[in-house]
Amino acid sequence: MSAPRRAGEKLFAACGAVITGTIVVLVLAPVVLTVLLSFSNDAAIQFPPQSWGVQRYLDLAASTKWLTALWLSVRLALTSATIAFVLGVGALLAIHRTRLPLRSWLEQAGIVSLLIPMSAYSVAMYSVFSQLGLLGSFLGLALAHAVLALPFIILVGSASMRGVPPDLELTAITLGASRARAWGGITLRLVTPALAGGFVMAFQTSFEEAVFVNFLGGPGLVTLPKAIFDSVQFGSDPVITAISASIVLISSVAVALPLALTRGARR
Amino acid sequence: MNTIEERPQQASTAGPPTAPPAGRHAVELIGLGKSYGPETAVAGVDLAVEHGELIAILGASGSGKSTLLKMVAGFEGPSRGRILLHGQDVSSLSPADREIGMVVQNYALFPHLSVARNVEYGLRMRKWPKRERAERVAEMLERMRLSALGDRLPRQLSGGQQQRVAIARALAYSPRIMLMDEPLGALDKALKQDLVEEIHRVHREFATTILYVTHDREEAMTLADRVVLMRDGRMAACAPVEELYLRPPTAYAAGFFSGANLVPARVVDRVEGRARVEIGGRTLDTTCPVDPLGSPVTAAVRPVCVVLDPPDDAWALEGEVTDRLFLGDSVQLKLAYSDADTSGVVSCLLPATAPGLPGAVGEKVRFGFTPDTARIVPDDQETR
Amino acid sequence: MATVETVRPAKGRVRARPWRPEAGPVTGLLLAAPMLVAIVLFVAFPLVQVFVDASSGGVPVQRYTDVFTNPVSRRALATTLTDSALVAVVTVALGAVIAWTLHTTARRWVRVLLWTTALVPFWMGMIIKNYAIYLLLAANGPLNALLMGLGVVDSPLSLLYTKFAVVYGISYSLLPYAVLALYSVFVQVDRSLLSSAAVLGAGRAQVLATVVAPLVRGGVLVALALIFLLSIGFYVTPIMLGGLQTPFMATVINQQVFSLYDFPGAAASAAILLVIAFVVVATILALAGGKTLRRML
Repeated sequence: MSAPRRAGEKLFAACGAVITGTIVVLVLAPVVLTVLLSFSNDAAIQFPPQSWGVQRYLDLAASTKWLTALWLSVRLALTSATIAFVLGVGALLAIHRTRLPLRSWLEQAGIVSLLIPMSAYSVAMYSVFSQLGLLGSFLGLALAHAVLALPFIILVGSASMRGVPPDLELTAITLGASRARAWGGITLRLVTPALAGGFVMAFQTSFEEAVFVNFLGGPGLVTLPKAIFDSVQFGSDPVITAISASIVLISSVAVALPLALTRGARR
Repeated sequence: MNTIEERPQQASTAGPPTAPPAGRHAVELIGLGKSYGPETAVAGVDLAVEHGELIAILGASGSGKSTLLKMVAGFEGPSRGRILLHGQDVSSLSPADREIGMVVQNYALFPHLSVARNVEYGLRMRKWPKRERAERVAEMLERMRLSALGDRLPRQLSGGQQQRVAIARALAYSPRIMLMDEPLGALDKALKQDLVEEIHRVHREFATTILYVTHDREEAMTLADRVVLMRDGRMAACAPVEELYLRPPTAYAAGFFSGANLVPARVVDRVEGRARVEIGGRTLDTTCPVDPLGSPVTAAVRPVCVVLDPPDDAWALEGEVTDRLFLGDSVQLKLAYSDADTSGVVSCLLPATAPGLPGAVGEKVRFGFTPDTARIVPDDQETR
Repeated sequence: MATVETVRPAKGRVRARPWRPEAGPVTGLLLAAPMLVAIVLFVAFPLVQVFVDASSGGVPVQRYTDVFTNPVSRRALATTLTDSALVAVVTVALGAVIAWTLHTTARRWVRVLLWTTALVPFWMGMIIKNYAIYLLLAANGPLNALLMGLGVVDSPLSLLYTKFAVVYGISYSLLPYAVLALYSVFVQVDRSLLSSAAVLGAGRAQVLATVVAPLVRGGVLVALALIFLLSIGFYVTPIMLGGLQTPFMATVINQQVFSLYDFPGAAASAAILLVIAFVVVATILALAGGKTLRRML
């Protein structure tokens, strides 16, 4: 290989590394910044912070406004993830283990909500919810979130179901199991890790969702994202940095822990 | 002490696992057929299997052997005919009600259950009391030499151990029959030999009736009491192993099962169960199993029966060595021949120490076979 | 063969029809029914209802034409489409660099770092990541501090409420989708192909252009369309980071519903967005088919 050519190769590789590095910085900077600012005791957010401390976490712990919103978000996310889970598991069995006509369409139907532009979808849902009298209803909002979360259960669950050999179930049935027991004890048991992952994603979808809440929740249902959204629009409250940092840390652990555990188990 | 012995259908030691009703076959297939639309996968199979027999269902892929087994297991509903297990018509029962044990390729062990829990699964589904379950699992693990592995998960086992677990699980509740679907299909040759011996031992010790589907004639030969040869959804042959090997009824059976050379032949005349057959210009007297007049026939000759420099009472052909493989104790030659009527290649297996062994490709040789070793069979090669 | 008369009746439930490995259509329908009801009620019904609302009150066509003639919404529509196109190009380009490095790198720490980078926006939550970018871009935020510290500018730039802020914010949210979608495309390029091409004398850039590009072109097009589709619906980012200076359709819809109480107008705006989304989805399906889309999601 000639010298200029080798230099060209090096330049090419270096460019790649610089671009990659820039992306990493652009993605991680906001996170690091938020965590950093959350440990400042300044009265208002400023950079660089003039004082350090955990005052914002203390304020958060003392604030009924934020804790109420947080608790509502948790309940809402649990409810909608559960609804999505139940709807999704039924559909997954129908798609993969029955002779229902058009069952492959069912899978497309389950993920279609992922592709609808949210700003248009919310207007559409607002109209339907007002006709059905569901505006401001906890259960209504939970159902709406469940429809948004459903694609994750379906996508993750379907991929996992395809990986379970049908022989396992058939063998269980020759051993005397009813179809229901073979489904529950073998197939669903084996896709449980994937479904648990889908459940977590469904929870996350509802927990972070701010658009449906804005349109469908009314004044009565102020979830955490809605509270932050409102607060930012009317001048931001420094406590938000503490909330953000906590959520980032908790979700990092929630994502990293299973990965670390499975890696440990595989070794 | 032995609560298991009190259950008539769960006798656990020697003898057929279920006391067979007198005069009944373990399995009876009556006109069993399966069609998918216009496609016929299995066409009217009749078969009766004795208690404790191991029947190999042998065939190439697409021959209908797997469909046949799936119908017996209950995974496929037959289009025609009936299935009787121990004299009971099970055609309309679900697989769960048929009292069968099944071992499939890759074994389908439940990956999330320990070895002991896998073996116990069928007993739990059949609602055996806890204490009897534990006793039976311990007994099965003992008999399958798995006692030390009861707490392991399937993925921690070797291929051979996995097979033993699959067999233990299938036999734990003493099914009427055991179905094995290509259990050795995905294994390499060395491991295969060990597992074939294991299956042989299980069959002997448990005296279970086994239907064993395979595409490998050596597996079928080693294991089976009788072989059912499937071809295009039909039963091409059904005979005890040695019978089928030494006296195949058709050219297809001779080629597929005995690995015989098929040399075109011509029946000149027929006298009282014997026929005068002409091959390579020489006409000799031989026995003939079917009435061959008017239909094409073939001489089926296994490679070991081909001789060089044939004597006068043997059919003889002129040929040329086209390939020579040294196999250790023996040498395999490929001999190409052609004369006025016909041409072909004959494979010939000779002892490596035989005198006058042709040494090189291209060498001209005279070879042949005697009427005792060649079998004149109807030529069904073309019927597809 | 057995004489038929003496066959003993079988134990167990005698079935009228043969048993099949899959459960029947009725069971399937019962299992799928809850989801079907939810989808009819909360996906199909709303999507139809938007068009009904937009056409209500005897002015069926006018509200749609209003979207194009009203200068505010026309500008918003144009901004939505151009910014989304920009987002698609930027996100797919950056996502491709990450996904390709993930596919080719042998270094473990690089993989861990890049997967973290790719997935962090996913786990931060829509509001929180926009808030974090808001802090980063604020007049007294670190980016301005850095620029002033380096002497690039003398007074703080107004980075917030600009096209840059909106594109950064949306790209940030969509980067995980781009990386995952492109990674699923790239893993199908066998790495041994690359070394074979290199052995034949191709440089890295040549390998990418002559071997990789033809193999992944279709997947990249689908990824572009997918990111564009997801981008046009963004609501939170244009409002939080774009404000009224760079209005998206979302901003217009927000005003129509919450300030002007013009619900039919909002429905018409939404309907236009839906039609655009439908066209994009149809294009993706024509380009690649449903299976590819499902795999890339």
